[in-house]
Order: sequence, then structure tokens, then C-alpha cells
Amino acid sequence: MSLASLAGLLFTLGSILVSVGFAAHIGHAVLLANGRRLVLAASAARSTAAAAAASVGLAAAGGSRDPGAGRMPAYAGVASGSFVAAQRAAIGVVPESAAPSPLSGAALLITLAGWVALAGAVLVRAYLVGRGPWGNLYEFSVAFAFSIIGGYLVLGRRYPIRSIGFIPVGVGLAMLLYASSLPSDIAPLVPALQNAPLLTIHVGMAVISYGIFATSFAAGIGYLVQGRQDRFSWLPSHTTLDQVAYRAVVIGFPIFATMIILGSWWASIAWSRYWGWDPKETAALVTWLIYAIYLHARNQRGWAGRPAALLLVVGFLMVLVTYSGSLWFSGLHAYSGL
Amino acid sequence: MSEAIRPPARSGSSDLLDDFEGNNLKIGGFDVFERLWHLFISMRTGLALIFAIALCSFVGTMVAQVPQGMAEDKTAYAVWVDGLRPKYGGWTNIFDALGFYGVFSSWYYRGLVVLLSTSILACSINRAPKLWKQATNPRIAMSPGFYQHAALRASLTVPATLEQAQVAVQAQFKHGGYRTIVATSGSGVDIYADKFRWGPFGTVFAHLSIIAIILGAIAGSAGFRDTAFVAPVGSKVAVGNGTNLSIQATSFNDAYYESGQPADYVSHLVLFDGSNQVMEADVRVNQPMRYGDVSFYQSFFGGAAAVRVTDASGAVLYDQGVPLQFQSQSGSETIGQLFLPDRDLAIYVVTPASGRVDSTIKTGQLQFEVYKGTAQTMIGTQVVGPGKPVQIGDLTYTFVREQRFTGLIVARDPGANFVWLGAFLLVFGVGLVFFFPNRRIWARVRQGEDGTVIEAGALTRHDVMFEAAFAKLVTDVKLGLAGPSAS
Repeated sequence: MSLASLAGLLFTLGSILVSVGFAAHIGHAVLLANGRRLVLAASAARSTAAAAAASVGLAAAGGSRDPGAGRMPAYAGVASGSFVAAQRAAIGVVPESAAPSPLSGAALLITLAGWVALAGAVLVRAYLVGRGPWGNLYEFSVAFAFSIIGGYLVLGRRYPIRSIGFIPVGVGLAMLLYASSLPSDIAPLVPALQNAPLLTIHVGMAVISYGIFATSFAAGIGYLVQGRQDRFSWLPSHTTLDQVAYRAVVIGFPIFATMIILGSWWASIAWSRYWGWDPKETAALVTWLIYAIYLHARNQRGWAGRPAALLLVVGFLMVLVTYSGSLWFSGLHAYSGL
Repeated sequence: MSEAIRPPARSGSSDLLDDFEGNNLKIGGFDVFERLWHLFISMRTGLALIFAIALCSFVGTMVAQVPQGMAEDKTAYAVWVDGLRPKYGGWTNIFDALGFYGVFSSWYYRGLVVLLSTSILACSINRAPKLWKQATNPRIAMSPGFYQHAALRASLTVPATLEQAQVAVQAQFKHGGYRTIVATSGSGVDIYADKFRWGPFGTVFAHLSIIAIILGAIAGSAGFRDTAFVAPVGSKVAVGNGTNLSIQATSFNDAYYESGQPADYVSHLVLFDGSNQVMEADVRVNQPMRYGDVSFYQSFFGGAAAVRVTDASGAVLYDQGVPLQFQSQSGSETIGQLFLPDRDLAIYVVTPASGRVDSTIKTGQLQFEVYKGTAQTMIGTQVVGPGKPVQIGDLTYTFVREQRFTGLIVARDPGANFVWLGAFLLVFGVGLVFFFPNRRIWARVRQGEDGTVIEAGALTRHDVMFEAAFAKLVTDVKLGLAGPSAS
């Protein structure tokens, strides 16, 4: 088997696993929404944590409150509300959104396996092309999906966001499906792209930051649905969603800024000027400005909460516009299809 | 980490906490100035301006923008706008009326950038002294109300002496990498602890970086950028634009992959400063040639015709390549032009376009068209093959041979270094503020009825990781003073 075939095989395997992982995430969210969670495991873990927190007399104004306490499950009474209500005493302060379900483990493991397969596909492709494997729209889409899922997995280690995991995994899956419709032939680079170090770093940073922003998008969607009232117990609390989104943007924003700056540096080498209002670079600037607004607005009265969450959604939509720039507008980036 | 005991901060001490307690910056004097000042230091003003710039930029991204310089030529602009009608239909004129085709050079876009720069500058001036005081002379003692309402707060009653509790608290702060400042008062001991106190200056660097970048862009306008510099192979062409430089392209080669996709464009350039050769290099798309602050970039290429013009005495008036860089309206011919200002002549050289057989000029031949003066009165025209001189008017014209030309962009940008400085400041500032977050904790140790009471409080607006770190510190203090009863 040639390396090119191996890369293709790993891409196919990764896509299938991510598809199954996506379905498992959906199933996990549906089970939580219907109260079908693994009660005992959650109870034991959470009771310990709650006891530890309570023992030191900690308090946080609007901060360390338990997101699950005192809230009814999303669809209590619709399908299995009585089951959930009966278990609430046993659960104690367990946030429903963080509880495991019969599918939660599978959702994580299968998605992780898909991500590892995609990592293999990206690495083999990188070896084959001798640069960052994001020199055309197919390569970029695969790397984008890899980054989106990776961002979710990393942030998911710290925050209980598996119940909204279907959003980033779904966006990643959409990228993989789109990539599968694109020609995957390994083609040599046109002269303007023949700068392997800058191509690798500049576009690589775009891949990473776009991927991280996908999780902030998921958190923003979750926040808009959840509201400050924490309407749905199967969703992470609005506080958790706010923190995840902020964390994602704090990581992605400097990387995105560096990506734009390195793009300017490259433009000053290949196009004779660091900034030329090329549609794609301008779209990236607009994206960056939206996240800059978010970072400033998040703590401002009147902007915090839903408006800030809306900015996260608009920001990621702008990421998608920037990503798919060659489909929307012509410009100096058009030759790469990026 | 530990510092000498300092007296409690004066009541008039300026600190960002003053905002927490409702004290605002007072600026005496002229009311209008004060209003303007408050307008520009307002976060809402800044946000509105960034939002407006983002919106305009989005329009400029999605709507075609007129090429640089074309807007001044009304005829050319009208033709260009007509070319957009199939794309925008009935919106074409509306977009035109709204100025959407020239967003980035519009007065309103520039106005927004100026206003944002002013806002950024005002905010930085307003904020920097507060940050300095916060880092160098922070407020140490907080009111009892602070410990009841702070975003993060904790209270412990421990079976230890006041001194033991103070030592334990300070030890945990030190262990966590915090600087501590201690002040004693009649009611107990106040302990201030902070970490990464220079981190907030990242916001100042990041904001000022935008100013540096804008200044760089303004300074750049003092340079030049010639996007149509044409150098026929073998000919020496002056760079102009206030320089004493000239370029001679000794070769141009283009290479293609088997698929027909371009693989390489490379010009070999020799650079002269005056009459001295100062540089020689291959120039590719990703490999410009730089001499001082002037850069030469590979941009385009095409065919050229080597032409010689002599007068009746045999004196050579012109002996260089003429780049064939224009096309006839039908696309059947490529056209070059040369001027002999001493003779008040404009000469056009016309050849059949590559691959076109519908031209009246045969392949391998060239047509000279000679015009007199600004009135463009035709003196004569003749079609010739290579090496055959023809007489048109008083002069003899020879099509020597076919050539190629390389098209370069020649640019000098005296503001670029400002831009790179701004870029560095931006990344440095953003990294500093996000990855080295300033953490500040106030603690108060006092004697209670059931033992020594330790209270701690902190503000947290940006730092989502602080809550866990705060909890760990409090837990560690508790564990360090075994056997307390928490309240």
C-alpha cells in the first residue's frame, strides 16, 4: 500500500469514526435530555467534590454555585421526568449535563479514535507533501476538521461539555464530508505558495484557531438556548458555557492574530505589501474584530450574556466565510482554493 | 516574594479598585473636553467603533472593490461599474451610491479608523497610570464589606494565633508564586497578594500596537509602489520614483508542470545605483530582491519587441525592448508603445496576439504606427519583418527581434517597520494579558470570638481559571492550620 493510499484510508476511517462519534454524541444528549443517565457513577463523583468544596467555606458570587442544583431536567415529565425527579435526591448536587449516560463513554472514545485516525491522515499527508498539509481546499478541510474535533476534546477534558459535543463534532463531520467531495490528488504548489515554512505556520495557525473557535461557537449556541435561567438541565450551565467559550477565545484569539500577522509577513514577501485589502485577508480581519468585540464586551453591562454569545456565533460564521472565501469572492488567495 | 510591611493605602489612593467602589476619574476644567474625554475612554464607544469598522470591512469583503487609481478616472470607473451589472443587477447603482465599491478609501472608513485610534489612545492614557499604581502601590486594606461581597470570597475560623495564621496565609501565597504585602492595624493584619502584576500592561501594549500599525500605514504613503514596472530582457530601465536606481533583466524564464500549472517564474536582475552595479539576483514570486529599503518583486511577464530607431544621420535614438503589455479591443493584437519626447513622437508597435490567427498582421511580423504630438496626428504606419528597416517620416525603424519582458513590482515602504513593531506589540500584549493574568487576593486576619478568623476575597471578571486557584489556596491554608471549623 502506498503512503497516499494509507492517507486516504486513514481519512476514510477517521470520517466513519467521527460519523459514529457524532451519532453517539447526539444519543448522549438525547439520553440526558430524557433523564437516562448513569446515576450512581455521577453521584459518587459529584458528592465527593461537593463535600470538598463545602468543607472549606468557599463562596463565589454567581460563581461556584452548582450548575445543576435546583433545576429540573429539560423535558421532565415529557418522557421520563418522574424517573429523573425520583433520582434527584440521590444525585444531590450533580449537574445533569455532566452526568454520564450509556452512550457518553462511547461518544468520547469513538470520537477520539476518529481524531487519532485523522491525525494519522494529516501526518502521512504532511510527510508526502513535505510541508504543512493545508495547501489546497481538500487538505485544509481535513486539517480544519481535525482541529475542530481536537479543540473540543482538549476543552472537554476540563469542562463538562459533552452534552453539546455534537455541535463541534457535527461541524467537524460536515468539514470531512465536504472534503470527501473535493479532489484529493497531491498537486505541486503554484509559485505564490512555494514558501513551505510560512505556508506551514501561517495556514497551520488558521487551522488551529478556526478549530478552537468551533468549540466557542458550540458554547455560544448552548448559551443562547440555555439562557441565564439555565432552562435545560441536560445542557451545561450558562456559567460553564460562558467559561468554555471565553477559554476557547482566549486561546484562539492570539493564535488568530499571529496567523494574520504571518499572513501579512508572507504578503510582504510574495505580493509586495503587507496589506492589500484582499477579500480573504479582510474577512479574517472582520473575524478577528468580532472576537475582539467579544473579549471587550463579555464583561460589559448590556453586552454580557446573550449578546456576547451571539457574537460567538457570528464570529464562527465569519470564520466559515473566511474559510470558504474562494467560493464567495475572488482575490489573491483564490489560486489555492483556500 | 514577601515585601516589607507598608502602611495601609491612603484613602485617596488611585487603583482600579476605585472603580469597584464607584469612584470615577475626575477631570477638571472645560466641560466639553471632559465630555469628549469620557466619550473616548468609554468602552462602549470603542466597541461601537470596532463594530462599525467590522461592518464596513465586511461590506468591502463581499462587494467588489474598485482597483486602486481607477476611481479618479470617471470614464474607466463607469466602464468598471457596468461590468458589475451582471453580478449585482439592480443593486449595482445602489451600491455605487452608497460608496460600497470603495469602502477602504472612503472618508467614513478613514474617519472611523481615526476615531478608533483616538479612543484607543485615550483609553491607554486613562488606564496606564492606574495600572502602574496597581502594580507598584496597590491598595492593601479592604473594607469589611469587600469580604462579604467580593466575587470570590472565603472565611475560615482557625485554632491558631493571629501570628500563626498570618504566617500560614503568607506561606501559601508564597508557595503559589504570589507577592505579598502586609499591613497591620488595630483590628488585625491585612495581607495583599498578587501575581503577574505586569500582565495588565499587555492591554496597553496591545492597544498601542494598533496605533503603531496605523502610523506605519500612514508613513508608508511616503514611499512608492510601482505595480507596472516593465523590464524587457536585455534593456536597462530606470526605477525612478526619486531613486537613482536602474534595473537590467538579463533573463526571464517560466516553467510549468505537466498539468500545465505554473511551476516557476524567475527573472535574473542586475541592479545599478547610478552607473555602478550594486546587486544581482534571481527574483521569484516568493523571493524578492531588496536593496536598502527598495524591493523588487516578480509580478507578471509577457512578450516584447526589440526596436531600433535611427535618424537620417544614422544616430541611434532608441535601441531597447518595447514591452507588448496592452491588448487591442478585439484581443487579436498585443501592443506596445514608446515615446521620443525630443522628436514629439509616440510610436506604437503592434504584433499578433499569441495563438490568434485573426489579426491582419502575420505571425512574426510587427506593425509600426507613428504619431506626432499630443494631437496624435498619424505620420505613417508599416508592417515589417524582423531585421528589415523601414522609413516612416524622417526616421528609420527596425524590428530587431522578438523578446520577452518581465513585469515587476517595485516598492519602498518607509512605514513597514512601524507595522512590524505594532505586530510584535500586539502579539506580546495579547499574550501577556491572557497567559500571564494578574491575580490579586486580599486577606484579613483578625481575632474572632471562636478563634482567629481568616477572610479572603478577590475580584474575577476575566480570569476563568482563578476560581479554582483561589479555592486551592484557601484549602491549602486550611490544611496548613489543622483542625479548624469552617464557617
